[in-house]
Amino acid sequence: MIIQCIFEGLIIGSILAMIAMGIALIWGVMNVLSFAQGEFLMLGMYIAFYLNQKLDWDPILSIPVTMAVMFGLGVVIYKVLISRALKGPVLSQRLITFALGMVLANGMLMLVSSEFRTIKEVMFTGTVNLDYLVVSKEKLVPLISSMTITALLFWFINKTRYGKAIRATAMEKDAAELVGIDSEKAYMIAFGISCGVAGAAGCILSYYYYITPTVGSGFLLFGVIAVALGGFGSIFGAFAGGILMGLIDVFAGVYFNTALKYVVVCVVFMLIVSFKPKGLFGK
Amino acid sequence: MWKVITRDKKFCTGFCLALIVAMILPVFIKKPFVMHILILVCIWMLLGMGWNIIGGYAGQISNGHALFYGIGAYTCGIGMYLFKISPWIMMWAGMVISALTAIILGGPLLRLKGHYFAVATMAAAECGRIIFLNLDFVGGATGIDFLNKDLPAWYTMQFTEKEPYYYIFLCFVVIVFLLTKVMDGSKLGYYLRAIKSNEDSAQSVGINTTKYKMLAYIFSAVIVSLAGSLYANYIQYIDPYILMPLNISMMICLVAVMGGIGTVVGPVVGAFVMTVISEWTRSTFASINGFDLFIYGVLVIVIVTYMPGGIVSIFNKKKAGCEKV
Repeated sequence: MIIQCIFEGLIIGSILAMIAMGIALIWGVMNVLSFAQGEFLMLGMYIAFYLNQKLDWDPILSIPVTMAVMFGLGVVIYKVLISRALKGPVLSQRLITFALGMVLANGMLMLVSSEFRTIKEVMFTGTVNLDYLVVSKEKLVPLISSMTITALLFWFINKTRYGKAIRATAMEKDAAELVGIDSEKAYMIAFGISCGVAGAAGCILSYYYYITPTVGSGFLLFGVIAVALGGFGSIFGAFAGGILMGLIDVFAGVYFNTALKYVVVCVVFMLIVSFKPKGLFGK
Repeated sequence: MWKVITRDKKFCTGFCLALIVAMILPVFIKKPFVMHILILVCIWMLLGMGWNIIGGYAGQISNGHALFYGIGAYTCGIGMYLFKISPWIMMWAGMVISALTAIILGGPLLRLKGHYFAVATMAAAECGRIIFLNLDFVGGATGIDFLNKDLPAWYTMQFTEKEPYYYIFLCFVVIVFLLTKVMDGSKLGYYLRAIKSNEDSAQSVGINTTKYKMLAYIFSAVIVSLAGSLYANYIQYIDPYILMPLNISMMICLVAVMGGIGTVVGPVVGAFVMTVISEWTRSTFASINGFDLFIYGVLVIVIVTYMPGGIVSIFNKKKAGCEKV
């Protein structure tokens, strides 16, 4: 039973971690708390849904396309909105992302109705039965995909030139510019990547979750809490925070009370943050 | 205390004019919908002014004030529904409970800075929402409907016409507005502004930042709770959804920021503009699903991008610098 809980917790946690890493990337690099991540997740889900409907693509296979589209969208949004917002006070930036989220969610609501949709047929179905654990492939494939994408993200941030440029800009923008890094471009790429990751998370989530324009806000709240838990500026912290939250979510639901499990999550968060104000791995 | 207000002649005249206009306005309004908008404007003014104390003056951006709003609304609702106690009394109970909650939450949370404080308050508000959602004796997800025709209208604060609501709410708005103006010019206001500009410097000059942040948090919780109580009596129905999702907390924040954060008049102007926009878009574009919030979001983006100091900053050229939070 415990192993089953851990497994379920890892699945939810890995998706939350992806959203959280996107938020942490924007927070760490630009010091903007982006409230629009939930809506990027939702857009990713819809892209996966329509690709599945029109072209019969499995959602997991549509991840590269979704990531590319969302990256492009992220770059456009950055150029139009965020770069202007960065010149203003911090609170305005947060409000702009919040309003952006509202615009996206309601824009989607206008275009498609608010009926709940699901992906009907996925490529990998069935269960894998290990002795102590029954694993349904519909849940295993998302887990593997999200871990893969997380690994790719870590590789990108830590090993590639662009990743290092982004990290340098996050650490000290003026110094990075002195060394010749184009900080605008770094910000743009960072924003695009976090959109792309959120879109990928949407594809993965659409495997087993319902799709509706307002689905983003629930995940957003927990993603943001996961980031604060993990600590500012630390993408690994966001990842750890997301996984931790997923695990707490499932364990509280099973052993405590399903209805109040989110209260447990929030209380744990508030306790941790009271003792470690900068988060678990924060700087 | 009155000297603070009467010293500023421009403020006095402006205030008296606005008050006279506000008081005779209902005479000219025939449509109940317009009255409804004015009443909502009053509620949002209270919300904005309450939030402004902690967010605008003390600089601690809280994204969880919907919690206090909900506490205020639920205490009045429960009081009426279960115990038949008048909201005039229950609103004070609500304010006390909100103040206690602010003390309990503020202790650990006010140590956090910036984004962390915002996220922690969001988590607290979400906790509150889920707790209310699951408490069956307050109706759980369906909420409670506490329309009560047996007791006299002045006792229950449930009237059939809108005008009494408007005048009662206007009284509260005026009281809170004057209190904010007094605070603005008093030592407390200066301490809070010092804390907002640079907390460490404020501490080094001997200001007890913890105590004043806590005071600001308690005041703002109490005012927001009052607004919640009044709103519940106007709508005569409450449930967890209309009160506490993240949207409400952000909109409270929005009202103060758009009007002019950290100013006395800012939340009042912001509340007026935002409520008018949102209600007008909702009524005009009701047929297209979601269009009203879409337009609202677009307008918010435009206003916040081009006027970061809020609407009030257009009129105050000397204060037009960006308030770095």
